[in-house]
Amino acid sequence: MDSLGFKQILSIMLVNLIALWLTYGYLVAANPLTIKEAPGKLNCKLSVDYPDMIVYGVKFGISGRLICEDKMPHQLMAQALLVCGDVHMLTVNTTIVRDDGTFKVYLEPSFPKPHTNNIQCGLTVHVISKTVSTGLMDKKTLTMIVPS
Amino acid sequence: MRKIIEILLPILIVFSYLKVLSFSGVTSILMIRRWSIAKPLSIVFINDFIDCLAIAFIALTISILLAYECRKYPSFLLILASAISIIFLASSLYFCSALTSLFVGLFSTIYAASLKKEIRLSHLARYLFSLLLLIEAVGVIGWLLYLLHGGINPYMEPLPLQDLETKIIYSFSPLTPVLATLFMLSIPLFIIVKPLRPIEGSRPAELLNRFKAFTKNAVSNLSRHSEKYGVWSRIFLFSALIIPVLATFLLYTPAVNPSNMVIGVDILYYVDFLRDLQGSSQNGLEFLYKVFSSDRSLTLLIIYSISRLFAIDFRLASIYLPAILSPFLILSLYYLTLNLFRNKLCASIACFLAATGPFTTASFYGGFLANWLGLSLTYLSLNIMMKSIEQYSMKALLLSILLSILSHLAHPVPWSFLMAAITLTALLVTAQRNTGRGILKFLAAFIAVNILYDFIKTRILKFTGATVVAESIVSTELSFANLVNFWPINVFMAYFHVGGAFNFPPTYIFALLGMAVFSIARFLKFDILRMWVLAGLPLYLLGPDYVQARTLQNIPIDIFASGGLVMVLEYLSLKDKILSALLLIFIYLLYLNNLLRFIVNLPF
Repeated sequence: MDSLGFKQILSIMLVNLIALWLTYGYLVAANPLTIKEAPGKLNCKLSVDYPDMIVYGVKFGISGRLICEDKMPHQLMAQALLVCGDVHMLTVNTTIVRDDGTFKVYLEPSFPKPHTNNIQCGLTVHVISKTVSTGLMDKKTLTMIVPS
Repeated sequence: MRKIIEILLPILIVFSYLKVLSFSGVTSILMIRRWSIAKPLSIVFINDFIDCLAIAFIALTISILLAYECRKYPSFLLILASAISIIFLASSLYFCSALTSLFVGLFSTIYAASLKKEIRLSHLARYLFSLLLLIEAVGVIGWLLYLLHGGINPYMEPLPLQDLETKIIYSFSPLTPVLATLFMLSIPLFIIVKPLRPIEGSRPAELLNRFKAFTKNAVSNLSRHSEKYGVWSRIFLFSALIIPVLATFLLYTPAVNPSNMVIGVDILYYVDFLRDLQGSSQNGLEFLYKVFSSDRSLTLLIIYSISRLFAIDFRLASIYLPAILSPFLILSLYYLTLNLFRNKLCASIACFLAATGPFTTASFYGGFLANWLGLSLTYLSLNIMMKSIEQYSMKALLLSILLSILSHLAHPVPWSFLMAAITLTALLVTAQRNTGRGILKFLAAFIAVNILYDFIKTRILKFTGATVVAESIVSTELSFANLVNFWPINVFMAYFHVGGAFNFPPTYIFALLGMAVFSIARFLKFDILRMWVLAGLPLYLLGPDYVQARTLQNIPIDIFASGGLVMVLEYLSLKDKILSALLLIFIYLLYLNNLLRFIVNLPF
């Protein structure tokens, strides 16, 4: 390769364009420092009061409290997710965490009726910041009674 | 004294890297109990001050030892840098302190190993691998303890054993979209850079020629060294066969899945479809007709047969089906890779990477049963087709066509990829006029019969088939708007789609290396796999996140990765046999951690 021909110039341009595009992908699009919704470290503890038992079709509430060492972060939400058996049988609801850290979420298990008299369910409470979870969560497995 | 430096340097580099991550506020998306969570990659061992003090002290010790050994000006600069690190620490500038210590570690390595040859790079690599291996082993122990102990979320404990490993791996997650895209673009890129050959006799030309010569030599040696790592081959293959089966059962144990939820998303669609079909069919013949009119008839028929045979419901048959599908995929992948490389270790590694890497984790999350079966049959078909060309056997060709039709019946997407790859290969063979016309005849016969079969199924019988599915994807899903928004879509695919199963950079690093190997060692067999990747490129660039993910799912990326990894092993075994053994153990634990991390966090 003594001198640069058309092919070489085209090749250099294309390689540079692709390199630029990939660099943008790495530095801007996929960069973890640009994940804006990351809530950072939350020095908080989550405590939740669960009901002992739930009944199919009957609305119930879960109350909880967020206890933070520092100032209570704003715009936090508490999301409760009830999964019984398979992912067809789930219900989810979200509420705002108040300034004092308390919240109450109501859930109504009104998914397709299970065929058994009682069923094991997983109830998970997540604290989320806008759309991404803060990692603060609590979980309990409880029994749901299905009235005949 | 040199030994102390060799031991301390990897410790300094790894731990200062972790603390830099910690203080920079880098966040990644982790799937924890099926939730995608933005989690800062912060690590605190004792407290930030003591952690940084320990690192700065190690940096100072290394620089003093190096200065004592070399007694040259740059080594005294390293002492100064270590002292600055301590000053930063005293001023509570933890990030600056950790960053300075990391620079001391990196520059000490370059200075002592490359410039002054005071320490041996292979010894340094040994200790680095040993340290990483220890972190991986601690991670596996952490997951096993969690599984035995059960109950508490492993990420919620003060310092879980698996935290270090997870955070190191996830710190490389921004590389995933870039590496996966680079891998998909690699064939056009090779064409683009072809005119840019380095000047003959220059250093880059010499390096390139050496790399090419080494690769060609190593690929031709692979078949002769097939029994070289006999024990390792057996361990990797046995693990690849057994681990996904164990994972299938593990997913439905109370420790992992207390609410006993169905894990695979698509499983419920299979179950609902079969229940509806059974309810709406008057007799067995009508049921069969309806099954065959769907695009995944073989998979549905297998679920139905298993549920009838063992008198279990469709749900139970479907959730445990991966225990059969995974070993089937592994065996077909093993024989295909063995045919490609004629090397047992390479074949076993490809199987292990598939069994514990993104393919299996994504399949578990999505419940991609039909895709699992379809890809296994596609691999088998391709393997036998390659043999038919080698042996010039019509019987083998017929068998490969039969298997490809079965793959079409299982799932049309892997079949479509195979057809596109074979068609592109046929075009390549036509362009290379020196290749025998016999090969072209075999390829043409294979394509013609398959296309005819799909034509009859979709256009004459009016059933759903590959071309109908392909038409629908091309007309509704592919667009230039997706190309314009490529990075946000691709990053979403990597971080969030199927729980971020594809977010595992090691696979793409090795696959890229494998692609270089496949491109240098030009064989028709390798060309088919390269064309397979090329066939997926339009879907990857123009498709939405789920099409991008399905593309990665349906290309034999683990074969490329195993090719790349085996080349690294060949290179290391020439330099240091212990290092290659350490790398093998490291890879084993790294991928095992990936599967365990994913499995444990799959249910809500």
